[in-house]
Amino acid sequence: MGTSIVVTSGKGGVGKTTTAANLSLALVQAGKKICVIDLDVGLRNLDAILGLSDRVIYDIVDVISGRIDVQRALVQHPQYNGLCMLAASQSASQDNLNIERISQIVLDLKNSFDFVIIDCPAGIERGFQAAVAVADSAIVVTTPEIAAVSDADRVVGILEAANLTYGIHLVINRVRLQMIQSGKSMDIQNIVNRLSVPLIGVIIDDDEVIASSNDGHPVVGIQDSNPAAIGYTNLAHRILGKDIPLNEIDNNRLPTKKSGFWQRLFKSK
Amino acid sequence: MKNVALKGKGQEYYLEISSYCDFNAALEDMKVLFDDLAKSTDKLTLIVDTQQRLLGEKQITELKQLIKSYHMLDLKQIVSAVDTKTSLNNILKKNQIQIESHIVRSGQILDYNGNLLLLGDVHAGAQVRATGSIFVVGVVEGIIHAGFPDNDDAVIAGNLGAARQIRISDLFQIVADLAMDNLEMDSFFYVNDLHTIAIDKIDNLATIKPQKEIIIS
Ligand SMILES: Nc1ncnc2c1ncn2[C@@H]1O[C@H](COP(=O)(O)OP(=O)(O)OP(=O)(O)O)[C@@H](O)[C@H]1O
Ligand SMILES: [Mg+2]
Repeated sequence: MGTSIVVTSGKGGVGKTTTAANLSLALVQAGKKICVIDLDVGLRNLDAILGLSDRVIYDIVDVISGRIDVQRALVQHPQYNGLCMLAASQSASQDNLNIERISQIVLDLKNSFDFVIIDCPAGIERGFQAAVAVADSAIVVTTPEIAAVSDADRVVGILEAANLTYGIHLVINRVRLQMIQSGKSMDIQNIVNRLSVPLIGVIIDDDEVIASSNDGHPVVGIQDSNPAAIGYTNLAHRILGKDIPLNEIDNNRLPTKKSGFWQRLFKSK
Repeated sequence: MKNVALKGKGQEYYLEISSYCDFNAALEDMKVLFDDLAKSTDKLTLIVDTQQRLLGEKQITELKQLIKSYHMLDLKQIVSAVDTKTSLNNILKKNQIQIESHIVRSGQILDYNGNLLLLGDVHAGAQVRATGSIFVVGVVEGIIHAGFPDNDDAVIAGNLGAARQIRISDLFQIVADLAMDNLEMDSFFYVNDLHTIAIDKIDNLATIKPQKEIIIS
């Protein structure tokens, strides 16, 4: 039986879809079978980031309405054997998300995949509620901004009430070390303290993430050495239980002065 | 005369009714006693102590009527060492301090009956309300409302320097408008005689708003 992981945030545009896509790919590279579901009905874009838009024939609303069997609606990635996607419908609205049906679909998928990764819509409306109802665990994505952290807090409160089997973990995305260093953005420890949710990943802000997403090839698949790709890969390995210190960026591109920052973060965890 | 006894305690006169006798027998004994007293006294203020007995409505009326029929007697009050379970439960519910240990997050509104000791942070966008006082061990960034909706006796204490608003009873205070040096960890908020929110050092809590009724459960 596989595990479902919901990727959520509260605030829009902080990198849920990017995280879901790259995490899925990183888990596939680690040898796992992954099904990634787009619940952002009406505003789908997971398929584009994964380069699967051309291949979508059926979507989740077709499955919910019973028009098609879930296995037949899955889109198989041409390049990665272990990766399948269930697309969101571009035309329907979140009201089409019948929570009982989605629970059944996710349960079915957990039987044939190691992980079912669910990309949530922004907000705490029906799409989010459906995701919470089927989650075994949650990844809350935030950026180092007050508004994103505050929305993350709201979402964590709701997730806590759902008592997920494998709990809630935090990913801080689009981290710009220069801004943290100069005190212009919230620092990592500060965010973790505020949310008091265990940190499982820190992803650097990198132009390559945007460029590769536009291209339909998530950065994890094309550039092993990219600092954001390393962040996603480490996130995947931590989910698989490897004890990787949260100081990856330090080793890669930061001058010595900054090592203290990551070491402090790591030690205090 | 063993069913009732008249005792002087300080300035007061107590008429004690034995807990175990028949109530009507006690009334009979009282008549004898009061007749006797009427000869020697022309004014006597009385407190009736029913001890381990709780009188019913009818018994209270009977007792009051009897005492009224003697002009020199003035009944101040009827006391007893016992109380009904219902009224005790009400007192307990109102006066206990509930201890809660969790984080209150954005969008959550927690309501409590009575006094609250909160061990945990109150995040921005969160609200904690209680009908009694609220004591917080943790950082408050949200809104704390004590004495909800109209209890002026409630107080708020804790680390409140980063709170958005402090509300007590029907009053509110925007914390950003306060002089920061008033907001040390050792301050508390209360409603003063002018019905406005005031701040003082926690050392003065006992004199300004004695929290004598709080029972830690
Ligand atoms: N680590 C990163 N570095 C640079 N750009 C990033 C990073 N993560 C995400 N982005 C960019 O931020 C934008 C929003 O990302 P994404 O679509 O993943 O967010 P989302 O949370 O899914 O948004 P929505 O709420 O609309 O679903 C995209 O243009 C994406 O390429
Ligand atoms: Mg998205």
